[in-house]
Amino acid sequence: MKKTIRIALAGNPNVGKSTIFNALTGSRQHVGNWPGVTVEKKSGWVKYQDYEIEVVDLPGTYSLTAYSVDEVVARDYIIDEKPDVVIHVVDATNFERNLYLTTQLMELGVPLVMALNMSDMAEKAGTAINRASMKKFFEIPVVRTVGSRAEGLEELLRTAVQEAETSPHHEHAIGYGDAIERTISGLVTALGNDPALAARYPPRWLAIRLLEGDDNAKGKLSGSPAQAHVLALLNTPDLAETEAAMADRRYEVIAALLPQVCTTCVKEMNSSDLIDRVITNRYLGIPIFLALMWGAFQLTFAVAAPFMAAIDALFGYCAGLLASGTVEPAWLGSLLGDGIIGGVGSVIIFLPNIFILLFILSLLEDSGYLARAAFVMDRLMYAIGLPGKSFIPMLIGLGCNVPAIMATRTIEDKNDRLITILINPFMSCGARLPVFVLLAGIFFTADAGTMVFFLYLLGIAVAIGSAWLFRKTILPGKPAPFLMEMPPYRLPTLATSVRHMWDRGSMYIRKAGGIILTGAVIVWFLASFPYGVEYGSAESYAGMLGHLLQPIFAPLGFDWKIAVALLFGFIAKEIVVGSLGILYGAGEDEGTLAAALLADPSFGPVTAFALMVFVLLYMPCIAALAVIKKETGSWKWTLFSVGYGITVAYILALIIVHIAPVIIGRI
Amino acid sequence: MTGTMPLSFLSPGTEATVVDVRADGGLLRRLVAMGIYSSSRVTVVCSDRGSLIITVAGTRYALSKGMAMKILVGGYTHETPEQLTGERAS
Amino acid sequence: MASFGKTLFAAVFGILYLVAGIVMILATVIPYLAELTGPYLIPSDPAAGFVHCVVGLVFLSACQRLGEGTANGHAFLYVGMALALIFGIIALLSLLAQGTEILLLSEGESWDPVQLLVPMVYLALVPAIGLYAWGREFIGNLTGA
Repeated sequence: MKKTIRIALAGNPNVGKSTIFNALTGSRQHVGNWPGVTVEKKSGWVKYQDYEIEVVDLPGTYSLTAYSVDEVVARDYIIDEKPDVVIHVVDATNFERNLYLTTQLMELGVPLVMALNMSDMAEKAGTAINRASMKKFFEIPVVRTVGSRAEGLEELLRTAVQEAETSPHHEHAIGYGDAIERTISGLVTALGNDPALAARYPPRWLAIRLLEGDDNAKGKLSGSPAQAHVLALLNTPDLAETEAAMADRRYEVIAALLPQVCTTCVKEMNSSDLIDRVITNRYLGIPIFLALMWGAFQLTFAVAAPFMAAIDALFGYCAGLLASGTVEPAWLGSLLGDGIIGGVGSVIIFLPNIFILLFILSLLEDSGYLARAAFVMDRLMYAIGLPGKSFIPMLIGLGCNVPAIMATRTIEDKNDRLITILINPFMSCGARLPVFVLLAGIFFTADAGTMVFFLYLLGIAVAIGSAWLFRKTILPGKPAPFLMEMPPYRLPTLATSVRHMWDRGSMYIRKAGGIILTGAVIVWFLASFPYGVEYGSAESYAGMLGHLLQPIFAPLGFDWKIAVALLFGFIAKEIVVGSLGILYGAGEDEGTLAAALLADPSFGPVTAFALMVFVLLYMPCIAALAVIKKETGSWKWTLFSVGYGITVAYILALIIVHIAPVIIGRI
Repeated sequence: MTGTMPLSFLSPGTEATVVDVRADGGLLRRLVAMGIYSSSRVTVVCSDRGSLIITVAGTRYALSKGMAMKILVGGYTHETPEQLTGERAS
Repeated sequence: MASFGKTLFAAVFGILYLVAGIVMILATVIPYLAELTGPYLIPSDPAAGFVHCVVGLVFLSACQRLGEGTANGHAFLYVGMALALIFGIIALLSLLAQGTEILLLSEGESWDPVQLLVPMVYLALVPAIGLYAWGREFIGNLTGA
């Protein structure tokens, strides 16, 4: 008989929860969103004997209070969905710290199994945790696991199923002392007056949360007949002291139990700490960081180059085949050759670049270095009004803005997060590179590399300037003080880093597959019709559109072709190159496009420069906008980022068009 | 040594006991959940003009100066040089 | 007390890297200098030069601390060696990729393995050995090795 069981994975961040989740569910997993919030929900399935087990990976949390959305999501899931058993994943090398969450999970009254993860490292460090004592004192079965090697998972599932089948909900009470317990009883009785509420939330748990000043818990009272009475009981002057006393009590319990449960749980100064003395050194910290960043980009561009050349050759060959008229009817050949290969090709060719950069970033993250980098950069970030944690999303943004904006979820402060999201599109993503490489290559030849480097710097400068501006005007305040866990340095495993690279990079592929393909077809369509016009000429729909927009761009020296290309760039910035190719009648061949651009009298180095700056800044592409809307949850800010981007781009391009000729004239 | 001072003034290698955490609401709870609360022992790993990396309950955290100023500690003892090197100097 | 050997090592490589870095930076602005050092296989590359300087400074910091006998000397030394190795690998991979592209995909351009000999690569050889010889235990202490 097949039975379905629901398991939730809970635990502190950085304990290897995701590794266990992946090991259990393999490919049978699904990533979505928790309803109503922007937190990612990972769920999957695993089969064990007769059971079909649904596994949900809850966000990593230090506790179940409501300091961040993650914590609310995690505990709401446990309360509302009532999984059959919760597996509390604990880092055996950090055992003591993890116990705080254990006590809170116990108070929820849900069946618990502890997965003692990273046991291999703990044993290597000499830590020994007595599982029998754990079972005795905490009444929780403990299973030894090593997630990275998929060890102990079978026993874990077996124990979890056992707990789900056999144990009723028992509430393990931490006694908080007579005075507080009396208050708790009073609250429990008051809550009992609302049977619906009492059925939904374990009364003792809710009482404890209310005493600890949990606003989210208070919110659950609204509309309940018991609310007035409960609030009255809470309205005592000693509430803050009560809260502190309860936290103290939890730690007392942990401290008392710890020696009986764990021997040698104390950490000594080890290599990680000593390395930190160098990496976060006040003088060398930032230079080391800059050097590593140089290494990352250098490696990315160098190693990607052969792949890009190979892909280019391949696409050129395919385009050649199609152009020779082997496909009937002719319009299909045009669609495939000019439209799809031309449009999508300019995207695919930069895939090696993006993936290698993401891989290197994953290596840096998994080794533990990125956390230190955020810390080292924190002082600088603070000066521009951003928290140190904003730094990592900005770095990812240099690969692709989409995963970068999603990475802002770790920033707890709302304003900090919003500013980080709004400035992210100015970080020059991989999509803009084709435009820069093309135009810089044509118009600046020998200095092309410097030009591109300058554009990256400009993007970063505008991002920083915008952050400063927002802080001064629309989003005033100070960034939240830096507080971040520093995982120990470790040699990253290839498999994990590849996985992380894939998680982020696959978002880009989906974008390429979906939006850009559609966009390329639309561009092709507009360029090919009305039927019979010359492809990409002024008579096509695209051309008509361009002439419509031309007056807006005239001050910048952009003619109708550029206007159209920019419009299509809204779909995805990579399309700008393909569009230019179509409109200048050059198709896929870059050499022809280069010649065409050079031949155009209205298109000179200044125009090219202004155009590159415009493309760099003008607004997030559709995919990025979709993510911004999702993460901010607001149309207002999404539209703001569009408007702000266009304005900044226009102003800077205008400045360039007017000032650059003057400067060049003087040289 | 006795007396209370903000965590940001301690030098690397010092171990101290937290006396008071001057934060409230969500931030206080986050600190408590991470193990930073009255009577917990913290060790300073690195220090640079007030911003620190500390170890608490076996876990390493980085704090900015602003954060470290909110945590008052007392009862500090300095590590001995042997403990500082973490390995036998050869 | 730290061994004299390690202190000397840190001093020597600190100076080598720092000098290489400075030369690489200066060579971009002083063409005469570039011609001078070209035969010594030192290209002119300001960004890479900066990186060399950073590695050099880490070694020199190690040297100073090892000499004084303060705690962190070994840490600086091992981190310096690790950085040297990391950048050595980065440079090697980049140059190999470049070579591959030229050999496989461009016709006509020649590529000589001697192009692999840039300071970032050859200066890293000895520190890499040093890391293996002296730093193995230190690195092994990292949880998760």
